[in-house]
Amino acid sequence: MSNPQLNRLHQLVEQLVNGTISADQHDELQQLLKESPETQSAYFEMMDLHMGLQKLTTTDPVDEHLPFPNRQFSPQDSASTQTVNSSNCKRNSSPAFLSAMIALAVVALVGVSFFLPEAEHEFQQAEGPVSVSSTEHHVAQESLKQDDILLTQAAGAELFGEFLPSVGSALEYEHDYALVAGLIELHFPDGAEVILEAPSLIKITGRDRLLVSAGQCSVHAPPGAEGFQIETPQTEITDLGTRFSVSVSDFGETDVQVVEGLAEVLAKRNVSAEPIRLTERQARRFNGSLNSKSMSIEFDANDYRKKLPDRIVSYDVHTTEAGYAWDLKNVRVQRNGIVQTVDVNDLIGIKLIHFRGGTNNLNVVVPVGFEGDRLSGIESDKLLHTGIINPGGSVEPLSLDPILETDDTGQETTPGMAFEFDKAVVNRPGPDVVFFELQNVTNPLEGDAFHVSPLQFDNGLRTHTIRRYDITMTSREAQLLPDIDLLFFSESAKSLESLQTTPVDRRLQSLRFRGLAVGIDLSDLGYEQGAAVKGLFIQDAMDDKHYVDPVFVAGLPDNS
Amino acid sequence: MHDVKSDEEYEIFLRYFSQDRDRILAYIHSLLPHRADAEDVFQRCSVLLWRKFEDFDTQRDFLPWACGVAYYEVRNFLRVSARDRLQFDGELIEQLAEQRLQSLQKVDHRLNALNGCLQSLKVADRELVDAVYNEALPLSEFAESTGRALQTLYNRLSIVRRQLLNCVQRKLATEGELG
Repeated sequence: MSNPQLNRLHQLVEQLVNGTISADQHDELQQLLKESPETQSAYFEMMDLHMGLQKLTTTDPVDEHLPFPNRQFSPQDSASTQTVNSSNCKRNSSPAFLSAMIALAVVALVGVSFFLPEAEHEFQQAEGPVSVSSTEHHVAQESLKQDDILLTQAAGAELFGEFLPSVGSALEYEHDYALVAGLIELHFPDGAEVILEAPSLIKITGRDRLLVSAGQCSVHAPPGAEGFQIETPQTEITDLGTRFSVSVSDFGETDVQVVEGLAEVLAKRNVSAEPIRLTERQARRFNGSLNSKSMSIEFDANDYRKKLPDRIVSYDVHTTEAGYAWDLKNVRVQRNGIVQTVDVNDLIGIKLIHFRGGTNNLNVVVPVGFEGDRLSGIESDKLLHTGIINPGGSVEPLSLDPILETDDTGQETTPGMAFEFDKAVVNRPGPDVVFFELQNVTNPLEGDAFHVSPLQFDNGLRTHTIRRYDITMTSREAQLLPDIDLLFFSESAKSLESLQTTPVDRRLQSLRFRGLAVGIDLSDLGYEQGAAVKGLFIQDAMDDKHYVDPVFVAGLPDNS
Repeated sequence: MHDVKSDEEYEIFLRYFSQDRDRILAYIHSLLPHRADAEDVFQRCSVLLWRKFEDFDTQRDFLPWACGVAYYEVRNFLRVSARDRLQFDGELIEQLAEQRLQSLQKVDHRLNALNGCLQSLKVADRELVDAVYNEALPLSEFAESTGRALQTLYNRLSIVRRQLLNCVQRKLATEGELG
């Protein structure tokens, strides 16, 4: 498509979305769009921009695309009390649509009553977990075979069109896996390990052979794994005992970089060419052209990834009879490249010292029927389905000390929540604090974004914003939680006192929630290594209608 | 009577639907560029998908199935909707529907990139975008309240959108998502 055509398309689409397009211009736009797939692609990009702006700038808490009961995280319209706040809703709600919603609400209401006995049953068992299990129940239980290629690690990984298999399970041969987010590590029978980074398209074609059609991978073949092969559209790379990285562009152009050892690369289309041997710190590009040879490129050691990033890897829980996660047993965390399991009793607990909600008046989540201390859900218990949720927030990250108490000037306290650790948390490489929230499938699958700030902005300290959790809704490690009661306040709680004492309306939430987790690295807030941190301030990032929902927060011990 | 299976089914459906929600809306929006039309059809389509979910073969991809349902809902909408608004003709709708399915996987990447690009807008431009998209103000009202000429705002909005489009393309190219 020529530039004048593209410019004209821009103009016409502008007029289309502005609602100022004339009939003649509309005809012209149609003709232009019918001309070629290129103009259609450009049009789609423009429409995606338009839709994206609608989505990203909208802050109306009622206005939500998902027209189902309990469609928002903040279930003011939970199944049993669902109403449609049409006065606040900008969007079109036709009678037919409302009827459908009501019908669905009825379905969900029956669902609530069905689950009620089970929920009460669960709470009666709250004195102690009925059964003990661990995250291993996620891992495929079938016995592994000799030729299995295992998925050994995953970090924020998502596949196109399917769920990621459980960590520890075998991947299928001759199956196209499209990694669209995150990283995964594969282990081959003879010991070769491959780390793949999204976006990548791969297929296992043999017990020691992997086809990489596009994307980036790092291979380590220890002694015994020599002969392991990576095939790309242009090359066959045979590992002769080495570490190397392979980067395949969408057009099949392949860069091979050898970090140590030796690898042999055969250009597939050039039948007369001899295999090229690459040794340590050598790098070459193969473009697949019949007429051109491979070319030497600058070696970049950063192309090779030794490990997946530091993160919360998984967590273990005691489960209820029904299989839901009751309380936390331990957390597996990778710090400075080393995965370790930290018992929940070794974690450093917190004490809430400030709370101010936002517009959402649902601020406490408790076990079904629970009548005790509302703060216990975040302060003293190990449950992942209890907490103090929907703290206020700000689009702009804090850069000044949060105001935790009102003074004579009458200045309002800062929206959000502050807590102190029972014992100072010492900043070490990798995550220093574990943060859990509860989430359901109608909420952002990557977790609710939030800001984490120091309680005092001393020199060099800053706010850090977390937008994607280590364990998201699509992670196998995100465990299902039992039924919960949501406590609704007449208005959003503005202080710890109101959080504890204000009378509330209690509603059972029927949608199933999962426990998401993310590690907070204090270095991201500007703390020096070894710094002792007494507390933190949390605010919702106000990037969408969904507020963050903390259910368990704790520091990692210094010796871990 | 509602049973466990229904509830599980509902949860499975929500999982599928939530994952592809933005893509389905993007699909519909490409065929029905007017925002209210697209959202109306999207809402109807959402309910329809839930009703038809038992027909969905979970061994297959959800998105093409959902878009198939959405396509017919768009055609239905165009057949019965008022004629007071310019709409694409059937031939173009068919072409766009076919072509659109192939690019839907980029919607999330574009959205993420756009989110980053929005942060770098000048304050005045961000206010303009917020007024148009968040507050859904007619631009004429915004022009009046800010004492600026309407055409000036249209021009500015067009420039801002182009800037954002270029920014998104740059970010995606950097991340290797383009193409």
